[in-house]
Amino acid sequence: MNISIKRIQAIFTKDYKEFSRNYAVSIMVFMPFVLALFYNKMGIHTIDSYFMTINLTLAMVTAFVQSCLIAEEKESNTLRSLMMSPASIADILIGKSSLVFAISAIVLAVTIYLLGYKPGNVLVLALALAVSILFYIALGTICGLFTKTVMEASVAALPVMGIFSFGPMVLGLSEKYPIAGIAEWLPSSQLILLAEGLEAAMPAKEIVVSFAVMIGWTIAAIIAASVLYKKRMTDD
Amino acid sequence: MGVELKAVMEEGKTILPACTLEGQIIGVYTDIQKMQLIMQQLKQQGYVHHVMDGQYRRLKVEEAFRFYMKMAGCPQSLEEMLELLGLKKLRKKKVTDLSLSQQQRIAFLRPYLYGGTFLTIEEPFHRMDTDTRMIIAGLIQQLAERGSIVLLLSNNLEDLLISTNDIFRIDSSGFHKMDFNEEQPTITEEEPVIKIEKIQTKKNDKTILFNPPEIDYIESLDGEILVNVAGVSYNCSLTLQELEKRLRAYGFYRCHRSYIVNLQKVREIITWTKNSYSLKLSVGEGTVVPLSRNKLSELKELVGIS
Repeated sequence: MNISIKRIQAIFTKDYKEFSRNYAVSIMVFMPFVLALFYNKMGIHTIDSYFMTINLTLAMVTAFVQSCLIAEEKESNTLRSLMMSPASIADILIGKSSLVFAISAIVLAVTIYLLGYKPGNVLVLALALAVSILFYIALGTICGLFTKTVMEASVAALPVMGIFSFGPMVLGLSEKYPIAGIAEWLPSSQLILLAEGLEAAMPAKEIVVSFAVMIGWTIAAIIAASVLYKKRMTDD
Repeated sequence: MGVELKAVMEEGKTILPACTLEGQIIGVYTDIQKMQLIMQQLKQQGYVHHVMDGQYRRLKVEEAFRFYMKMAGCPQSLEEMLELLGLKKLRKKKVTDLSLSQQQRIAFLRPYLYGGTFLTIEEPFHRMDTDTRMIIAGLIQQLAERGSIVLLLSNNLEDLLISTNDIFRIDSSGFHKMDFNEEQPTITEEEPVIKIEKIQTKKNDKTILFNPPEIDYIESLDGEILVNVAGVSYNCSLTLQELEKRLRAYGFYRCHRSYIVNLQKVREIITWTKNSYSLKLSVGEGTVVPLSRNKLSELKELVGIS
């Protein structure tokens, strides 16, 4: 698979212009800021509340914007010609994903600042967030490929939000219902565990486990997304 | 029907007519259903331009140009390309604010820039203003000069004729080249002359008019002129000479001193002896018209036989 920086750049620029002028989608970027300010003013400063916002940001911004970018190509009938263009699958997906990655990174940084969250180890947290962003980008790609319009894509992002952003809350029920313990293995739960570990000087082994779980989810999602994309390409 | 067509196309491995060369523009005159099938089958072979493909409507014209040019690695400058598509003045406008025809010009950047050695274009001139048609026709020409085989699909023959004379229609048995007379356009330009020749005859005091092609042959019998149509003879007041003059254009021939025959109905030249011939007609059974010896060679020349 050949990758061309020039084409990736072209797709990045085009998507950035389209995204910034499509207010229905780009307005979502500001939602986490409102939420973060809200929590901060209320004086809630717990790891759980911080990551409630961060996980919500990953679903609402990362997965949502990515799915909208792909669904929009379908809605305006441009995906077919894009797929037939000289750009390879990798070019197209990297071009779109790098834009969403950049947007997500900036939004997360600002959100964390507004929350007033000062992580114990910034570098490790940044790395964990980067892996998470990749995971949600892959999820967004899958959502975008399953839907036909931006409207549908925004609905498809809801289950992502439900499962991955609110999933860690289910953990509270695990004493009553042991089955809820499965939620511990969600990447969002692992992200919280990791963050808690960073505060309490957790042993390196557990950090590695958390990373391994998140990377596992990410790789699975990326494979699923590219298989689905290839299938769509031969379908129509 | 679709299955049938597919079989034909698979037989030849590729659906292209056998005579395709580099740089040829081929028109395929077909219906929408077959067009979809053809495009489906050809997408493995090269870029397929769909008339329904959309636009990045929120981009400005020059941004859209830059995007397509970067994607294709186009060596030309932005200015040149804008000039080529006649959109220089509109470069700062958003794509969505352009007219439909102008948007189609931008859409055509894709086949123009992405197209390789083979490309397929659906309805190249569908719903376009004259300026846009001229621009697109120019681009298609350029593609061909670049050495690409360009396949144009349309169900509008006039559209295809803008770009090419190599037009094929397609049916279940494959591609068929369509013939276009060089004179055809000049005829249509002239004032159409409507000329109706009817041969007036009489039968039982009724006046009956015949179209020339209906007539099998005309004979002169005892000073009377008889027009034979489907085995029945009718009297005619014209002389053989006058009839010959009027009917020559309809493929009639004075095969004998007292006979005029409709050559289109001749089935057989019978050689009775070395000097005696007859023409057997395809109508009725055994309708035979004599043929003069000295007329034989002229007739053979006329119908192009030896």
